[in-house]
Amino acid sequence: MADKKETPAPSPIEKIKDESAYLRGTITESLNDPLTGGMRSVDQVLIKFHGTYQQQDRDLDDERKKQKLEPLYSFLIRVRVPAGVTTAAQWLAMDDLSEQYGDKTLKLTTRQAFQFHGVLKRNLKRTIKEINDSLLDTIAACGDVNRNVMCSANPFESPVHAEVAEDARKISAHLTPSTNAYHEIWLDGKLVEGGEKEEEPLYGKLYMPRKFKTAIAIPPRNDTDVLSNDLGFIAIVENGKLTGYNVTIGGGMAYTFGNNETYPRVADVVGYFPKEQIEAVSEAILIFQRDHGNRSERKNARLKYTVDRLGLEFFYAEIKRTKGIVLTPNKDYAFETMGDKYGWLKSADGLWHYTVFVEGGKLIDRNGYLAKTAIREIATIHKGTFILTGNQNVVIAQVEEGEKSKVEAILKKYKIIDTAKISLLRQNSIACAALPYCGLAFAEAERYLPTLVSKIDQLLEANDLLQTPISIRMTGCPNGCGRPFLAEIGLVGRAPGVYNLYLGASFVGDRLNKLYKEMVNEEQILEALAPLLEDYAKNRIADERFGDFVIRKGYIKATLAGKEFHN
Amino acid sequence: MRPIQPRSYSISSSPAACPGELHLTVSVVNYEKSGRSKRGTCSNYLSEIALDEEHVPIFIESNPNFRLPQNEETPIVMIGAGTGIAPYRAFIQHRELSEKRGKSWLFFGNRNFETEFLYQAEWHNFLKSGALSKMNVAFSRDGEKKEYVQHRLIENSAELFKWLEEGAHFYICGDMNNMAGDVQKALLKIIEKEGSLNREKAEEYITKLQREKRLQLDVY
Repeated sequence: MADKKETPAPSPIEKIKDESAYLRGTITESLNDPLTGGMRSVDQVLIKFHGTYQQQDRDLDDERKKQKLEPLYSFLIRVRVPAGVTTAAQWLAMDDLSEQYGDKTLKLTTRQAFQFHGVLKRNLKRTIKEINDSLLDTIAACGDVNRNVMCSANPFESPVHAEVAEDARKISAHLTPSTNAYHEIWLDGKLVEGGEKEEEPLYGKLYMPRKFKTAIAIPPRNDTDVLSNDLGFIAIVENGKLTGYNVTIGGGMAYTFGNNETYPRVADVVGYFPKEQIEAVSEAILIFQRDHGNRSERKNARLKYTVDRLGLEFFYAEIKRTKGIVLTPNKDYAFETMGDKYGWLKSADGLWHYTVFVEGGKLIDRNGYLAKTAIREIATIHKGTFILTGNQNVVIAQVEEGEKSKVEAILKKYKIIDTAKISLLRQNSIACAALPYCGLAFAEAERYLPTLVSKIDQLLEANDLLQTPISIRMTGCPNGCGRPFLAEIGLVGRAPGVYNLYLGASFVGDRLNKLYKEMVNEEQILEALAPLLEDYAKNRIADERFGDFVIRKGYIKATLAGKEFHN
Repeated sequence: MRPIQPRSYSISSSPAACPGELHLTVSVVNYEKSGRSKRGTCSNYLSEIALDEEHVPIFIESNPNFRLPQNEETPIVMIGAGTGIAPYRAFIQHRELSEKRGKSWLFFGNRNFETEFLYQAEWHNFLKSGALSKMNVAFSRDGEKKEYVQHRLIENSAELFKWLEEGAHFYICGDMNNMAGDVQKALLKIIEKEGSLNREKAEEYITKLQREKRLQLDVY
């Protein structure tokens, strides 16, 4: 054993997991309590493992207090979509559920999942059941488990996309929790008879020390931000064939303001393996984190801290010891971008794919722009698949030549925005959901970034920079669900209308940014960016990226490792 | 011109718990039906008064037939819909201050849980403190089937009869048209079933309750 020191007391969440009987808790009782729209606090922790979060409409908090009502509780439901791929029938089912039980919007998340908001407790069970009826599920979409497995959404440019997506599905299935609790609670499954059966052969009773995120990227596209994940795979394609993967470990976004022991981290690319071993490698790394992650201090629990604490030599030794995994030196690869490619694109097999820009991943019919209805109508005639992307967009994939005009007609009918009219900055933007539902948000993200982008676009226009892609990401808090620390312009909420500004990340997602200005409002953000963009326009060298330029010119130091983020 | 009729509202605070104050529970009437709009004169007036601006002319009408039991330890069952919950708030505020208090059970119905669970946060606190022992609710517009307080009564038939036999006082407060009759029918059914009585005997049981002032109504 590596750690011979005395282990400090486990965190309170460990106790909740331990006593939950494999994630059952008193969830059913909480669901059946008619006096409150919320759940007991222990169950609020456990339902995350089942793919749902309790939230409240924070816009209404004050008024409801005056009315002597409890907060307006509702639930987020996150639907797992391995590799982001769904059928048209599944799309229609999700759209139906969002209308019937959600707030009539569909959120496409930064991890290629669907999210419903505003589901009332009394509808929670039937919504989850209907999701499962459509052959999707919500288990392990949140919680201390392996989350939705991402995969580059680029069937239009990679001949191996289908094969890699299948690998993503394999990993997802292999690492899904076994507990029967999910069936019992949501699907009216029978209670397992007699005695303590082995309910979690892989995870054990305590599951993971923290969330565990897995993603696959198919170069040249890093649309899944693979290096921001705990476990990542970079597809290696030789002569048009998938041979294997470089594996990456220890990426992760979150940090806590004022706590320099916490930091975002870019993953280490630790070696290559042939494709047949992908399930074994995934399992080996999962159990490495399961056994060595910090279970006493949740802020130190992610694999990124485990790797920094125990080192790569120990990691290699462990995966060899537990699963016989031996990695060989990394093979060459190159990423060109983290963004999506929009509009119609044709793949080598003659099929067409249309990537729809969905600002903030929020599909909604609003202000005469009926984006949600448009995609729904396409789903009624579409014979291919839909692929959610890591940039919160959706690809209408595998459209046959003969069907292309039908899809095109619907896009035109609803005036689905011509991406040529969307600025490159906006095309490369991500915002997390933040307010009104997220209890962790200090400031707006999804509801504000579009406005700020318009104002920065004005600066870009003034400097003739509108043809230069720059990545910008905004989150309401430093948990970083919108991966702000990998954006060339990163904004993280501190207080309503006030953000930290981060600069200097790489455009392709392999270098973090660094804090440039603390606690600035809109005026100050624009004031800070204006001279930099002017300098950039005048003095960049050839195709130099903005994130690289600000480092070369000395505006900000490069962050070459997570541990250096605060320096 | 005829003088405007006074409107009655049940007082929803206990003088002991809220000295020098009178709380009212007023539903503001403001809707359209069959192309005609109905606007409650008094309810709109009350909801629109600016604070500290006006004196509202009031008088107190005593109702000696809707009172907490003399004995603080007597169990009480309170059944109400909509603003009919008003006097029960006063009852439980009062019981919260009692050193020795009997158990209490509240049945409340309205249309929608999210917006019309009157005084919800206070009921949560009363349940926590024990001033209120049990609470059942029915929100008629929330489910696929319309559910009302009488359905909750029937579901709890056995325990309700137990409380009756233990001497509990029952109260019904609310809109005459909508619930009082259905609730009384439900009580009759419960007495028949749990007391193994025929209709006639069950009606006698209820009459006896009324005579003993153990079934009190505030119905409007």
